[in-house]
Amino acid sequence: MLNINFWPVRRLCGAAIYILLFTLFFAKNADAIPTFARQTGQNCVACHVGGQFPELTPYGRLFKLTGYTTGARTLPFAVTTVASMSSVANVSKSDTAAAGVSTSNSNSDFYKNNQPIVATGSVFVAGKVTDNIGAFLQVTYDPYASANADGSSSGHTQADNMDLRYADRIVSKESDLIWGVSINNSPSVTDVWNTAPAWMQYVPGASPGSYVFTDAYGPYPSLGAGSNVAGVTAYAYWNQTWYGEFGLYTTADGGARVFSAGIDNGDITHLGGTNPYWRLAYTKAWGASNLMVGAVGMLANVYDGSTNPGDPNAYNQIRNIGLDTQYQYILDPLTITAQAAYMEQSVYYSANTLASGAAYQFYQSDGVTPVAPISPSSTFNTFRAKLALTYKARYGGSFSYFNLTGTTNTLNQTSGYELGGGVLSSANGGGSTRVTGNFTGNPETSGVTFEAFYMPLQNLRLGAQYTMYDKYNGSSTNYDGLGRNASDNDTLYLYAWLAF
Amino acid sequence: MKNHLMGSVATVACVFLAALAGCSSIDRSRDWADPAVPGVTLAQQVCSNCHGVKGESTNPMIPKLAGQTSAYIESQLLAIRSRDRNDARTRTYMWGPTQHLTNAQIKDIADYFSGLEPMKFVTPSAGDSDSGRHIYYQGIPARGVQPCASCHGKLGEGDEITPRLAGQFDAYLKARARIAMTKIVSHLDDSEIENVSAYMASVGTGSAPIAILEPTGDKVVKLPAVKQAPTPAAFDAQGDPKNCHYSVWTSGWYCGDFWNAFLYRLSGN
Repeated sequence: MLNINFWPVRRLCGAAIYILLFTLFFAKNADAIPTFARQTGQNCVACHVGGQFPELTPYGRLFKLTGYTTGARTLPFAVTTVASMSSVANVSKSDTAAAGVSTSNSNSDFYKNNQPIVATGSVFVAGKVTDNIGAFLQVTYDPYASANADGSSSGHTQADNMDLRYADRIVSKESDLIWGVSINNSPSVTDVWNTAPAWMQYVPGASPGSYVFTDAYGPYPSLGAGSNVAGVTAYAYWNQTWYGEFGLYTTADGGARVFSAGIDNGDITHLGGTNPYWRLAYTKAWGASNLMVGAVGMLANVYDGSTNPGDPNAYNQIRNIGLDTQYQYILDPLTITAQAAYMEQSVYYSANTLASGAAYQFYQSDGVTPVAPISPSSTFNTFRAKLALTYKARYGGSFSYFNLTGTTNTLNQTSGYELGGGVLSSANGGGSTRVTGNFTGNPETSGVTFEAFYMPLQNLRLGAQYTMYDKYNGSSTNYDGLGRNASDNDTLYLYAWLAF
Repeated sequence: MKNHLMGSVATVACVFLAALAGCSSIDRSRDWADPAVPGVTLAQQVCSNCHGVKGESTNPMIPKLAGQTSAYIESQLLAIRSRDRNDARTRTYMWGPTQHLTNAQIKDIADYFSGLEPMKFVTPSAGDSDSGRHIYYQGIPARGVQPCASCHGKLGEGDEITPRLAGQFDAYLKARARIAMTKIVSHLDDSEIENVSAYMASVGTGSAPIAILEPTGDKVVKLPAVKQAPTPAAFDAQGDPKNCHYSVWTSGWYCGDFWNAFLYRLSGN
């Protein structure tokens, strides 16, 4: 059941209006402009469908594939910031709520619920370096990165998407070959279709607990290697029809440490060996329409955190293979985008993981029989589809459907019966996790997200998302073993997203 | 399992990129602000992104340029560069790419597209082609409308500064007609413009043989001069068209007073 406190909503609208007026009155000229728009002198809609940054038009895809080098080199800085508010349907089924911890306290399960915040900010250094070399470098600040014992929170800055590439284009009336090499820190960040794992989720999320059920944290097809790693990929796009890319990834340390800048040494993602990534796509354009059908895959060895990165028994092997498709219709004043992506992820757990077993011993409902031993592997199948429309590059909306299914594995079970029966949360001396726990060991999560947005200026997006869950962590009801239902996680997310 | 091979690959890649930094070729440059870049290079590397390397753009919002008269393309690029052509789509997509072009580059770009095989016919999205054919060849003398063919040619091929229409997207022709030919089309209603546009779209390269009609012989009535169509909104009427600035706070470019530009945007334009 949705519970909206109107006063915070009015405060958030007031904040959004303040941001709007501030930018209007203090930005008469082109002193601070999104860097690619300044480099080309073109409106954002030239590269972004209906103005929905970062979703790319065919022209925007060619801009990126040719290394961000179209136009004249200019001051390459840009900044984005997001103000937001999240409202979770049910904030009472929580140990912190039971203990009377305010949602203004960073240790609350629903920290900042119904409270407007400045959620995040990014600085970009991006654009043309030479006629063949360009870059997209993003650093992001999270004001709520960690919770302090006194109830406050501390911010943190770290490297985000990074893509430095060399590209060339050999084009004539008979043929067109674009090719390039990229050094980057996230598999598929080089991709130019918004069904890619690095790009399909793009409305910025936030860290406070009340945001854990927003669409940004819902199931999205993703690659096991994650981000903030280091890799080299090579790609080619032939006659604007066939696209192929292949690369290798490794840990972002040593000379590549900049790709994981801001992350503590003990927390960076360690990859073992060479970790191949590949991507194929077929594209066709006709009239106002264009279509992409593609596939992507990766094989990654990811350190499990058990001993040390030098231990060969400490690596989970993760295999990804995915299919994706994107259709766009772009004809003023209307744009339509339909996207669908499916990813199968198979995880083969490390020897250390199998040897140590599950983190906590749960029992079956009789309180006597231990749950099944952990399985040596798990499979996760993620499907997401999205339909988005914009009108006059000003009004827009989208509908998304997501469905994560997979094998049941007690390794993924974070809630369960104690010895002797009963389910106790960790706050009450047991081993179960309340709110985000998994009682069945099955990952199934499904639902929909509705979104409406308004762009009064080409670089300002005011939006509202409502995410509804049909299943969460394996069940519609009592998914955490302590009474929380999937629908309790339904969340309203309001945001004001500004780029300049 | 530290991987020295990957570390070496990354190092080599960085050195490779650094070495390549000095190896760019001006014949494959995409820098439209560099006067040394040949116009043909810009046409193939950049203009083709929207207009197609053979001048056959795909999206009907984007005009085809294949076989268009060189003088017309040149005149339009000059008008866009000088901001005299300032409709919304031109401001959005074309002011940026043209602002630094030299006259020589503009001439070369025009010659490149003009020399391509003329634009192929298009199935019209709307309109009655046959009705449009009659207006194209015979005009509407009683309403002061002379035959379009008298300037645009019997095959719609254009002549020097008068553009080729044959094979152009009908939606684009319809959108441009009242802006580019305000006085001449002022005596046509929207459906008639749509019909003529449909006919021109259908007679591009590869179409069925064109059935030319002879003029009726009726004398075109000379009607009183028609006032220039009112500008779409106060925004366009504000200030000198050359007093234009690029800003992300409005629709990319705005002319005249900033506050009026914002009000224009909020009013639904």
